[in-house]
Amino acid sequence: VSAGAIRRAVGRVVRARGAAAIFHFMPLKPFHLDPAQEASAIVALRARRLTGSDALSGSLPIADWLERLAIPQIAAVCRNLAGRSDRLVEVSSGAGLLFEAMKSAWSGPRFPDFVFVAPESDQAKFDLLHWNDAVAYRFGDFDAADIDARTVVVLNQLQAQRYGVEISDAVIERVLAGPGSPVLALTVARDRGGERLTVAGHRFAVPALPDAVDRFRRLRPDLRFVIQRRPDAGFFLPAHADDKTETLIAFPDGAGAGIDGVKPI
Amino acid sequence: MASLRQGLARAPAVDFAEFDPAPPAPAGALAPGAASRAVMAIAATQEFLFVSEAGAQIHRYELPDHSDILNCGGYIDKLLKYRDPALAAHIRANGVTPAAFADPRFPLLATRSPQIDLLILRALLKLLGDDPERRVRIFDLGCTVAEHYDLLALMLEAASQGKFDARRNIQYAGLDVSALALAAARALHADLPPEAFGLILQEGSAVRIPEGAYDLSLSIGVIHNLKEPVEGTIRLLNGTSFAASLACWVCAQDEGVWLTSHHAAPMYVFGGADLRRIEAETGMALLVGDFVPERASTQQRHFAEVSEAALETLGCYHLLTVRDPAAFGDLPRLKT
Repeated sequence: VSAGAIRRAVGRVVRARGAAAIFHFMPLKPFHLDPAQEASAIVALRARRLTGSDALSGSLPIADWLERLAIPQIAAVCRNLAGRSDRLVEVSSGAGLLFEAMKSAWSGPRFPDFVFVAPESDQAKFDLLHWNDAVAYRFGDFDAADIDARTVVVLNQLQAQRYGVEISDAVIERVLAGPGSPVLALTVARDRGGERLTVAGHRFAVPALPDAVDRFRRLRPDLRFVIQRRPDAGFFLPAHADDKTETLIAFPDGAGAGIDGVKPI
Repeated sequence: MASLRQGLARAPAVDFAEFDPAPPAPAGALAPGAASRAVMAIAATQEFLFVSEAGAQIHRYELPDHSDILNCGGYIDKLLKYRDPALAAHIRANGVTPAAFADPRFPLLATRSPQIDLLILRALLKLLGDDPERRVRIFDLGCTVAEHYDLLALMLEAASQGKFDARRNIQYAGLDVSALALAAARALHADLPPEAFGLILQEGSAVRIPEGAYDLSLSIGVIHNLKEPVEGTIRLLNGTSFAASLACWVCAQDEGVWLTSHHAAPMYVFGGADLRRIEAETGMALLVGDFVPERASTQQRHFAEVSEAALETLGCYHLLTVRDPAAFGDLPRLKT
């Protein structure tokens, strides 16, 4: 089925409990979708950090959203890199969910200098949710030449694609070839790579898992790879009957200890 | 490639044609004595549904579903717009006027919440006009992320040319049943001192407000969600000494009716008898700022199992309830 022939409905769907038939539909606005999930997760994580209580995050489906974005796994990798980093750069899009998770997860003596590299259009929302929190950050750009051996660079394509933002191959190659500690999180196809369409209507080139691993390994031989046990199946429309996507996370050797919910490759 | 940001690009996008998986029935429901007006056992989900041209389902993707998440996300988005420097500049330059609030560059200002905030601002300015040094006590029933505080603060500053300042002149208390919304409200207003900004976690019907505890109160889209909507509204108004603004959904019948919202919650639509009771038991006059038929609402699918015909009988009053109607002589009194 071509994209032009597909019709879509996005909203609150109401069924009689246990029944398949829909008897009510309320269309939702874009801000009710991923931005609402992300903002709510940030607020819940903030409340947990500041109060020490899981009451809020535990009573809402926040963990589901974090898992879709592999937030616990990426945060665990970054935490494992704490001893070899002074600076954390996330290349992504959105309101800073990983940043919020990192504020809780960081185990170093002090939170590193944090830079969020994202489209300018994200800044107002990012600032709204983080400006008056105790952890400092910088929103904006980062020069690849400034990546040194004590810089962790998270190329968070998994988050960026939720907002239709693509991290170019040139950035990936530059970061992997540099002296810092790269962390990649992206969607791959289990078998055949190719163009895929997200439920939001954005087209992305999704590489096949073996191709992605080979390519990244050539650029950075010390990388290790895991895939999530419960990937966010369904965010990409299947291109063919058996099409399945996986979440691939790559990181430097030695940073993979204690990551839950993943399988090594 | 020196700049990492230069390596970010917008992915190409397609616009899907939309479809409606459950159009409302043309007729039925809401009639007095109708067999079914409230569906009790329903399950709500947030979904992306995809069908072929022939209507066959080809893909389905669910988001985690919770009303608190929907509300929190929606109202944080509204707060973001209220804090847009361009909107603040617009209001400061053009004043707090109906024309400024109808400017197509800021469509949000023409929507229900800001329009009702205009009503409460009038009452706020009257109180401060009498005593510029006072701190007006405002109660916001169903405050979510306390976005009304931000717009009121902006309007107050603009309307008074900087003479009044919300931090100095308002003591805001927001109540909500959602811990998530209040956590967001707290996080987004962490810079405000406690004497200016407070939050209460409670179901709205359960709150007992001492008589006259607040000078002003507002409840936008919340009184019909209370477990005891009429009694809760009466308690709210009796706790308010000067004026309250309400978004009040009504039906064409004298008797109110319980409907079911899209998130499986019961929702009460007030009838004429309810409004008369509210007037009688509070001693307040119900003044009409506006009436928006449900047909003109931006979200006409809020209620489950309401037909196209029944929608014609629903609408929302923007009310300013006051103890002294003469002080707002231009606003007509609701004929109940």
